[in-house]
Amino acid sequence: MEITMTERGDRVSGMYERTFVVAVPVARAWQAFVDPAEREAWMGNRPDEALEPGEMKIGAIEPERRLSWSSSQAGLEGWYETTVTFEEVSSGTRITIVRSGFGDSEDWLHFAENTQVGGDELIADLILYLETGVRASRHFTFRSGLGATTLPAGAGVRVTHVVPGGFADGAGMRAGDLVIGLNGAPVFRMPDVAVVLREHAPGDTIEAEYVRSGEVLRGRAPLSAWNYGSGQFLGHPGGYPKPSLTGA
Amino acid sequence: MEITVTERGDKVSGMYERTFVIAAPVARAWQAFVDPREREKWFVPPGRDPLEHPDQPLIEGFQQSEYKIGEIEEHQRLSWSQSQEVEGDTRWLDTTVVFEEVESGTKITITRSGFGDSEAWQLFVQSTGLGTDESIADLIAYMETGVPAGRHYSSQSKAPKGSLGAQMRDTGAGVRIVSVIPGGFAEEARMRAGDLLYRLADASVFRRSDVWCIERVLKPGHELEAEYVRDGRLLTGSGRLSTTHYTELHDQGHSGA
Repeated sequence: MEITMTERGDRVSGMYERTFVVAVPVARAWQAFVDPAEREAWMGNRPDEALEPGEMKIGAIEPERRLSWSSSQAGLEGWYETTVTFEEVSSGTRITIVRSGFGDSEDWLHFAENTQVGGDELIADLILYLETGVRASRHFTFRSGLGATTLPAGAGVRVTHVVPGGFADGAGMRAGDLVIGLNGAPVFRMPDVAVVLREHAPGDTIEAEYVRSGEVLRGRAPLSAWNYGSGQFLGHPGGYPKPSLTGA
Repeated sequence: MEITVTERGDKVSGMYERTFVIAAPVARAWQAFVDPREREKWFVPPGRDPLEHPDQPLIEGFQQSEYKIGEIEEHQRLSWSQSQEVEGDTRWLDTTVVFEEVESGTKITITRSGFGDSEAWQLFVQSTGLGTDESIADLIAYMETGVPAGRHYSSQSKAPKGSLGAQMRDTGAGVRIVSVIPGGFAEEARMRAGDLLYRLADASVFRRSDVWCIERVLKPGHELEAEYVRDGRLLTGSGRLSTTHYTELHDQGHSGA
């Protein structure tokens, strides 16, 4: 498999694009997207609350070549477009997924970043299912949350909102802090945080290490619960709700 | 910051290239590479005294590496070659660092080439690539906050860390076991070359960095359960983590010993 990543980091391009090759014929790969029972096999254990309230409009469909749809999501203004293209190559099927039309607001920025991490994990689950037949359910396995929203930064993971009374709050973090360690392990990327949130249950007390104004600070607190969705929770892995929405 | 990742997965391009922007003037960014006192704030491989060889560039790999300084244009371009041996095959790797002034600070492009094509070299490219990505994050953290976090090296040199006792590589579906080291965790958990790692304890595994996250917090001897895919089936095994010997990491393609 080959994955082309267009951009990553503090600046979000407003677009998610991945190209990868799966070692199965095009007809088989196509089924994995359009047949609900097949789709279930690689995004199967999705909890109900992970289904964001939103709408979907099916766009152009050329069987075994191209699939597209538009989606809207509660809490986000406007629609975003997803196109999946299938091409026969000597080693199987080359699939390109393009998602575009993200807005510029902060909610969109969080959505775009989480789409990247989550989308990459779902692609891995898809490839695993198509190539081995194992019904992969690795992505929807979060257990605890930071009680904060985050965005990737070149230097680590940036805290963007802190939920009062949550883990981040308890550990003394504030918006703008740079997380550099959790539970004794260095944090470089968003997926490093995901490992900790899958590994630990809500209520487990762990240490956070973060940078503020040129100083390294540390704090311990019990982890929050994980929140998947429902419109106010656009900022995994984070345990939104955003402070502005709490109690609303 | 923006990072351009050219390729990832089963096929390795034989080249490492990263572009990122740091919020610091070019002269400052340049110092972070060429001044050993600055360099040690973010890049200190264990066992190497940066002040001992002030002209020594950023050498990845922990063997006795020879190096040659290449073309240097102050505040613009830095290059060097270093010898690297991987399973008996010694090659010169060429690294170039380019500095460009941009509105938000300095755009840095790091390019490394000259790797071999063998499986062992592909593992080397993946491992040093992942490690260098972490060093870049340490550089940016230092430049932008002044904190010499040095996470990449400090996290590994503090105390012995747990190891799965296997060589692994990133593939589209996840982390594939390339070889199992006799007497290690992977062998005890009955893993074999070709297996795909699915879960470690409660954490789903998608990338090798996920494995690093787990190895870094657990001590050798820690009892751990693993789930992995073989012949279309999910298998479960458990064992005690092996010990990572940092000096051997590169010989083993990381996660070794």
